[in-house]
Amino acid sequence: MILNLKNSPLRLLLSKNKTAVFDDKVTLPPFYEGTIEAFSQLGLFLMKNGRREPSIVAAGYWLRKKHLLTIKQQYHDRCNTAKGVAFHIAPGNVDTLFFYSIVVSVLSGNQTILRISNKLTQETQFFIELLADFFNDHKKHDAVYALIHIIQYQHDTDHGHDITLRLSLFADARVIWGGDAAVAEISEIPQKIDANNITFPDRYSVAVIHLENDSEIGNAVNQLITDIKPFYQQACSSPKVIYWLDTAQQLQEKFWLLFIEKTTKQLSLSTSDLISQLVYLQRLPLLLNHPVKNKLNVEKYNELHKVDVEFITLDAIKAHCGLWTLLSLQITTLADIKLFSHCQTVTTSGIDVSIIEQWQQSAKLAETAKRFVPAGQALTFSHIWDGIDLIDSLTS
Amino acid sequence: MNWEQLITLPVYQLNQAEKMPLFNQQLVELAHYHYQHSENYRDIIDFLYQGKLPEDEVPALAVRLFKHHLLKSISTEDIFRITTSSGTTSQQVSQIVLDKENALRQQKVLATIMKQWLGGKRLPMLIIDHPKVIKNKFSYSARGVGIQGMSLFGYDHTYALNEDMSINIGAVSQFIDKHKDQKIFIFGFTFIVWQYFIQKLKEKNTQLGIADAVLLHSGGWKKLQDKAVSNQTFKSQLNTVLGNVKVHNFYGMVEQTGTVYVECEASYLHCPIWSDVIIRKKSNLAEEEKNGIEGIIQVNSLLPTSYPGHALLTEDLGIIIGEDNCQCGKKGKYFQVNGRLAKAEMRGCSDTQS
Ligand SMILES: [Zn+2]
Repeated sequence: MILNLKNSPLRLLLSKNKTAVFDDKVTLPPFYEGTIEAFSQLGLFLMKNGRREPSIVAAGYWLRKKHLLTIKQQYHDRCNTAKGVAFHIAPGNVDTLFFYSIVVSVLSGNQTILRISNKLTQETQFFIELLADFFNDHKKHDAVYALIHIIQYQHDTDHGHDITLRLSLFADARVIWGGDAAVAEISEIPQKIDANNITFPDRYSVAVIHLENDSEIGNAVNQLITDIKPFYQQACSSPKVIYWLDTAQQLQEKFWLLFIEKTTKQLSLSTSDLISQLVYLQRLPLLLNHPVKNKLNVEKYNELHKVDVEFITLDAIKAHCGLWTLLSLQITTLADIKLFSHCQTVTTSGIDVSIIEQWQQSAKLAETAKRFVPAGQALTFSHIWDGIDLIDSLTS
Repeated sequence: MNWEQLITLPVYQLNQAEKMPLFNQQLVELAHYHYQHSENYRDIIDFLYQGKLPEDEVPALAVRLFKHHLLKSISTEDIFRITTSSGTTSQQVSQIVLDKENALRQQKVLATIMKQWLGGKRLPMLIIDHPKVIKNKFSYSARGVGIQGMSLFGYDHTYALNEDMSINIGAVSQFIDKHKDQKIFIFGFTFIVWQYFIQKLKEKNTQLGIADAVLLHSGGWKKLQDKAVSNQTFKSQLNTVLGNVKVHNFYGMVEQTGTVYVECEASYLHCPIWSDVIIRKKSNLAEEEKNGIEGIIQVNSLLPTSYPGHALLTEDLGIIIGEDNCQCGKKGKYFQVNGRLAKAEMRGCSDTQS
């Protein structure tokens, strides 16, 4: 089937040669050799030419051939054909998420149409330019390039709604990033019969840190910065809470002093963000004092506010807007940690793998946290995200 | 606080040395009052200021807080009315809790300020809106509240627009004709006055030729700025179409109803005696000591007693031009509003919809 949107008010990014005519016959086998070749070449290209953006370098690194082949191996006995057409709705400001969404979809062999925000950050624009440059200079990867479409349109107009509807009815899978509101709104739009609706609603993430001596502090600080600094701590997988497991106060104090040293002039906020931060801080005592009074204390480390609490409430998590606020709890055992059902990532630092595995297997945790990674890797993308195996969902 | 005395103060005649010691003392007292009477306010202060009100400043709550929480310094039985800000369906609205006393004080202060601009007598009043906007008694929208509040200063209230926002030209001409020998009072929201009245009259090449009128308008310049309409353009086009009309914009918000800031003949907004404006730095929200520098507007008002809205950090940008020396002769701070702060950028996962 062919979907012709040539006369619709939509913009195609990437290449002037592309037209808004989509053919669901244009697919490739999952993990096709040419795809892996193209992506691993692209990875090298991004690491070289995207040097000024760490997140683009990280994306390039993600595409190394060895890594792609490891993923391929996990599916060697299944995932034989692509779904067909995959329609992705990506957030614009988590600069690289759109890209991973495309990569996983194209690795699965799908004709991939990704709608991106109309307000792109400079980083995202730069990333898209790099993609266009790479594929325009490497014609031998045209078959892979033919699967990649990045589009923009005014989704909140009648025309925009019509485009979303037509793409939804055309696609065999729809991938919706962007939290509860986006998922609810777009999921209402009908899809082709038997099409997959893959959704990523609001999530939050936490960090567990255990420090025994001074020598561990440097790493732990670096890892926390790595996990919260991109996207102003607003990504779902950036920790909003720190659980200090059996860690001496004096080590925690040193941790924060080092944090100040390492983040000087790096966490500055725009005026709007300063106000949003203030709003959250002023709301916090109201959000945390239910059903009983919480014992609260706030400390400021550069732009970051650390808020000591006795317990956490769902309201305080839901209202969290990133922008450098960490709720901080002291615990004596991992069993003290109570996670809400929409917890996504738990990063751990200084804790034995076997202890984490044991904890992970406890029944209560299984239905909450979806992902356990070492600190510093909270934002590292995985093809299994929020417990959803994207490759499985995009192939049959 | 002795409001019987406070209300008798002249609106625009006290200079800094006369006003500020008195004002600040009252504001500090008010902050302590709310600290005692509003559990939520106390929780916020205790959390952010180590268990007590700071001595060197009166902390401002972010005005957005009233969109999330019902903050009050009175018991539930004493709630007389809850006013809400206007908002589109997707936005949350502010909720302001008033007891009878506070509601009455708002009216009284507003009346005293308006007297300065309209004179002591009620004037025939032309409202640039449609009558349905106040019909819904249950929803006190900002537009409805604004019109009702201002209606007290006029009589023979005539609505200039039909429900579909077209001009009710019959009613307008009849009104002007009827009151051609006296001063009339025109009121409307800035954008509505411009878009549905001035522009439509201009299109039709109609000139009303009003002999003597005062027009007060409010509601913000955002939409006009988008159309690149300046205050000067607004005034000159208005005068061409309507005739001899004195035009005064005013700045105010539902979170501090009563203390409005009216634009003088020199085109600056003036602080009445019961309120004060502070500019906060864009870089860190600290108080800006110098005049003439754009920052975030904080409004302090002595009126709010039933809710802790005495010191509010707005999301409006403005500049304090000076104090006590405006060419119009009024004392106190005078300033201008430069529009709203750009909406916060969402960098998280939750922005697919932009
Ligand atoms: Zn003046």
